Amino acid sequence: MDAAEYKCPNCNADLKFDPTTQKLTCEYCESSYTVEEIREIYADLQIPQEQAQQQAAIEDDFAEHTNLYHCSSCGADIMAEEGQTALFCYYCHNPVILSGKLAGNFKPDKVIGFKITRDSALDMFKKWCEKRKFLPNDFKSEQQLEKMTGLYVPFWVADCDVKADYSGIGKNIRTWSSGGYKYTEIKEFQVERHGNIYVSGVPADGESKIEDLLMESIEPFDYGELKDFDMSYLSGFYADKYDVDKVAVFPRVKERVTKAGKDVMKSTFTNYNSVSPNLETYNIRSTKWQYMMLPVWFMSYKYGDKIYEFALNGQTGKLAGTPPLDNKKLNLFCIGVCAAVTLIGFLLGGTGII
Amino acid sequence: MKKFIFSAVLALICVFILPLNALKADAAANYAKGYSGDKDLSGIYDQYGLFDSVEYEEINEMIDAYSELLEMNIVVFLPDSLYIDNSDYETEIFADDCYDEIFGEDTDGVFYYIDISGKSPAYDYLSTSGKAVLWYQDKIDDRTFEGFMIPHLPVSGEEIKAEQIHEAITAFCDFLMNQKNESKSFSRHYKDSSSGKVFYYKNGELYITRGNAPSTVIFITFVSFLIGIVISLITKACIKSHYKFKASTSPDVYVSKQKSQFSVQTDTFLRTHTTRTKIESSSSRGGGGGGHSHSGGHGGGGYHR
Repeated sequence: MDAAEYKCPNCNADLKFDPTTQKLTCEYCESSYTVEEIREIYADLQIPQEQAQQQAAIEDDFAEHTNLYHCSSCGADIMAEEGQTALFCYYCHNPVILSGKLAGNFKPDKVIGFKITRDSALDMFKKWCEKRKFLPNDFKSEQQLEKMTGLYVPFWVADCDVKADYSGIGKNIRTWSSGGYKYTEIKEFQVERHGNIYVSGVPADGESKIEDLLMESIEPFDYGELKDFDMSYLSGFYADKYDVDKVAVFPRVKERVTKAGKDVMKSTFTNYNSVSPNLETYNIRSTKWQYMMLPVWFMSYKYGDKIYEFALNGQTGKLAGTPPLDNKKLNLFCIGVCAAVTLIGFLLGGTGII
Repeated sequence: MKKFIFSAVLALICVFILPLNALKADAAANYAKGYSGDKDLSGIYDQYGLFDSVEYEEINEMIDAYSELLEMNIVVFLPDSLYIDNSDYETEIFADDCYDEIFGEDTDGVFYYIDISGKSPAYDYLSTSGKAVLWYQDKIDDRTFEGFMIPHLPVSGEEIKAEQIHEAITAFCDFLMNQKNESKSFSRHYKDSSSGKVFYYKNGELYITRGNAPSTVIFITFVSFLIGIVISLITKACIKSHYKFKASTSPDVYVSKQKSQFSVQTDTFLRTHTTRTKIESSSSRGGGGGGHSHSGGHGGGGYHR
């Protein structure tokens, strides 16, 4: 059996045969399978011919009705419905050019439609700006607001089944005073936790140009409103073609899933003052992937040499971003504070109060 | 960056122009009245009746001469037994008020109270006013009293002899003549906490004002400026922290509680340790004091004999 022919069922990376364990192992997610297991898994994944033809037809239709625009400045690929023309790149605001049609394998499985309108998004953005007095003036200008773009961001969404094992020492500490002495009592317990933690719907954006943390900050999306993908959802909006595949996003997903697992584990230790582990492992046993388009109102702003990105969840309205700071305004304010303190000191000193 | 430096320098200039302007603006608030030139009011006030008329005149002439020479009022007061019950504080108030009554507030002069009332221990007090505050304030201490007047004065309870008092007054006049500090340095100043008046020289002229001396105002302003810089930097750091990216969503929201379960969840008791430490005890105590006020600005100091 040629290991190179097989992908990891967990993360889709290439599986390699390990002569020591006699198993096919994945270097990314550290999963390992016997040859028999892999054969069984791939037998289950065989798609009937009729279904395969149907799938191919859908992908062809997607490819035929989707235009791909390319930004020669920053390299972004922007996906738009056939009837829509993209004029500028929403990352760097340079003109984009039509570069052709999109291949059918970029067709997403699911989509969540926009629920927040452009006007609502602008209102939310303005309120967000009102709380920040040291933004550059043109950050709130009409010209800048025009750049607010409704964008479907490509996401890889993973459901992970995690095998969690924890073994450690839990301590309960009690102190009291009596007869001029302070007593400290420490009770120790052997803590054992073994089981499965299921983490469902962990998203990771497949767009390298958008900050991963920015997208994580506008989560969560309500997957109850997921629909099968249809090009009509893109009408009036832009969409990105993913440029980071699920193999590349898996480490991010794994990190987040492990953190979630640790938090779940920690929640079972409420009876202890402290717990120190002897063994703590979180192994992802299986992962189910879905590729979906999620709605985001997106705006970028170039200030100095840095590009600031602002994103608003197009479904829930949760917003995030790094506000640009107008250093001139801030410095003037600080000089004002310094002058005010000095003046107060002068007045109090002059009148002899201090 | 250039603009910022320019703004900062401009702010600094403005800040330091303020106290400099203040130096020009307070001429009207000067309470100093100087020396009237009337030496007849200076002299010895002998309530005790210690000196005969010859000695009295001789001492008066000596005091008048020094008064003219130093251009300040000089009074030596010899109390009788009516003052025997006066406390130290009452003696100080009496000296200050008596001087103001004779010469007026904030005139240049000294009032020397030689305690021969019979009080034990005797409390001699030297009250200064006007320029005498700055001339002698640094010198009025036990060392001065012991170096000049005390060697001539009787110990408390001993018989009062006119010759001794005469010598003490002569020594006092020597002290006034030789120990004066006429420096008109901008940084020299004295603040009378009772009246709230401050004494200092500016452009060679004595100023008695309320509030603080210009050198103090400049110092306070400078310290305020430094505090302002610190507050500004803290403010800047706080504001900058609000312009940082906020933390991302916790992945805990994606945990399915229905599908997550522990097959093993046990807590087995292992052992107990108990330690004890002795509690150390500590205690502290503190205290305070009081003050008095009068309208004329005075300096001064006293000595227990």
